[in-house]
Amino acid sequence: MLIVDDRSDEILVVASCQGDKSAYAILVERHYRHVFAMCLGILADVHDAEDIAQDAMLKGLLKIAELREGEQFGRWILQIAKNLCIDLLRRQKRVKLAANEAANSGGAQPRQTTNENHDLHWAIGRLPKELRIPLVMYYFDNKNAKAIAERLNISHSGACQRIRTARQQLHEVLTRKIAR
Amino acid sequence: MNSVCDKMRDYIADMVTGTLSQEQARLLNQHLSQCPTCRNYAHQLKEEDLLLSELFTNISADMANRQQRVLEAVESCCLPKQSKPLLIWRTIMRSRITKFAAAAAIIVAALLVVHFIGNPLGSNVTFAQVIQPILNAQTAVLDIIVGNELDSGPVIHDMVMGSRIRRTLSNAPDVVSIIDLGSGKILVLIAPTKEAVYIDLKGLPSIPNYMERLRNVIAGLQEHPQFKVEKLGERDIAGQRLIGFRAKHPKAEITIWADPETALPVRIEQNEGQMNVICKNIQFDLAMEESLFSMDVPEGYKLQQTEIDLQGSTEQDFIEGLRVRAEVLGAGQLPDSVAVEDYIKEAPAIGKKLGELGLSEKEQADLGMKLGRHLLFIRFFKGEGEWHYAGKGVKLGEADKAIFWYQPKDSPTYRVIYGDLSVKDVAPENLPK
Repeated sequence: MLIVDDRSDEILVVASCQGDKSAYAILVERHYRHVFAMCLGILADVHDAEDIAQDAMLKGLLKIAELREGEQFGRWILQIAKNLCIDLLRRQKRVKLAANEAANSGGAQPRQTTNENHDLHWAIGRLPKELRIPLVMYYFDNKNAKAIAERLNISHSGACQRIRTARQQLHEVLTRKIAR
Repeated sequence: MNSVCDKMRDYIADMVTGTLSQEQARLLNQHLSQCPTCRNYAHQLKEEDLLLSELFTNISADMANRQQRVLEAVESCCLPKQSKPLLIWRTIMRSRITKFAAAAAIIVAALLVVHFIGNPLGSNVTFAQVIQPILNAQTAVLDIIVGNELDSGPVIHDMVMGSRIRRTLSNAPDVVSIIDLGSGKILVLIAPTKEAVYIDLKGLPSIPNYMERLRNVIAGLQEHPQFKVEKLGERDIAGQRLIGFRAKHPKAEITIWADPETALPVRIEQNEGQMNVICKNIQFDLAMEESLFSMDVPEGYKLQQTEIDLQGSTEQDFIEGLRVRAEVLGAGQLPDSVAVEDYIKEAPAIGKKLGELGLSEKEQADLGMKLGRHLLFIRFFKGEGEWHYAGKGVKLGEADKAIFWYQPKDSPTYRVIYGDLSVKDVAPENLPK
């Protein structure tokens, strides 16, 4: 049964601070998808993204009392996720690789490889992180560029620009791959 | 491919992502009809779009299971113990407006001594010779110190005209309170932020003329049968030769020092309950502008309204205030003292702290009122005998430490409040030592 809870994030954060895990569960249901998309956008790996998204949600629960503005939960939890992703990349000694992504010199190697999506998955991993994150979130969020802009705290036109460039660069990577 | 194609390839990407305007779509279609390379590019991008959609749909297919795993992890996760005590702090932190700043704490301080010379006896006062010369006085100016004069506490400066008092605190000179005892209202004006607060005082008896009240109280103290008036003779106080009278009553003691020549009181020391109040530098009939006592909100000031019940404060209000003082202001530590004079000393610091919390106006007002009711419990303590406070050095939550005890009126037992703010009824022989 679908239970719709129309309490605002702000109220749910207050309730969570009082130890109400069911309130936090609603926050999870509301934001998990976006957190996962962000992690996938950064890590380009479904399994890593899943692990880190879960870690981020648990860390959010433990740190909820530090969140001063409950209505900012969405952005706050995304920031936690982002930081955890960066920690993971560091641990995996991918820092150098990640820094070079801007120069399109490489990216995280995706582990999930269904045959028909293998090239696409690989190509997404080659995109620089700044383009990969909005692209992944865009396809995860029913192609809603406005929502992506809000979550990433950038302008709508900026989000559109990044998605456009991401699409163009993805095409180039795929074309080069096929040509090889 | 030329520069037109470059531009069109942006349009193609925008078309695929659904952000192309109608005019751009028209231009693009026109170009595509003539350029097979771009047509092919558009075709490929559309295909990739379908593949991307499919890829993310596949990844999303497992989303419900992933989410379920997170929810299970949340369920089995142990919450840190400190999250609960932060509740009040969190509740009041929800807004971001900071303008109201120091007002709440200052308002409370302004309220505290509004009754300072109220008639503790409820007696029928009669005329007394010592105050004969001030019968016709219309105004007065005086300084009030709550607590010990030698302490570094703030001086409350009052100007009195009729039923109105214009009050400032030496440690918060930017905040002026105009108290109208006739209508039971206080207007607080905060100059730096141009804010005004109207406070309706409930439980305050109407005092149409404060000057008359002052005279009557002084006179009554000397003539009341329960009072023993002792002549203290002449003494030099602060460079002035004064003659003193001490009036004693089982519940109050008042010492009046008057100018031996004019018989005008210049200094009154009052002990009421557990609060000492010293009024000094009293002068009568100074010329003062009536506009200084206006209850009209000055132009350009933003107005707030609230009310406070002076006599309606309960034990629960006192406890709630302790909670605020520990959680919001004391980082989990209960206050060193709950005495009114100590609060007044701290008022500006408390105001500053409240300002830093980033509260909305309403939240500050609510918190101010909470602190107000907390202090009014002590200020107008209605129990038997004295209250006792032992919360210094105690952390909120220390359930084994008694921090406050008192005997409610007509009760055979005492109420004891502990460090976790629980309360128990305790027989007198079992009270904390």
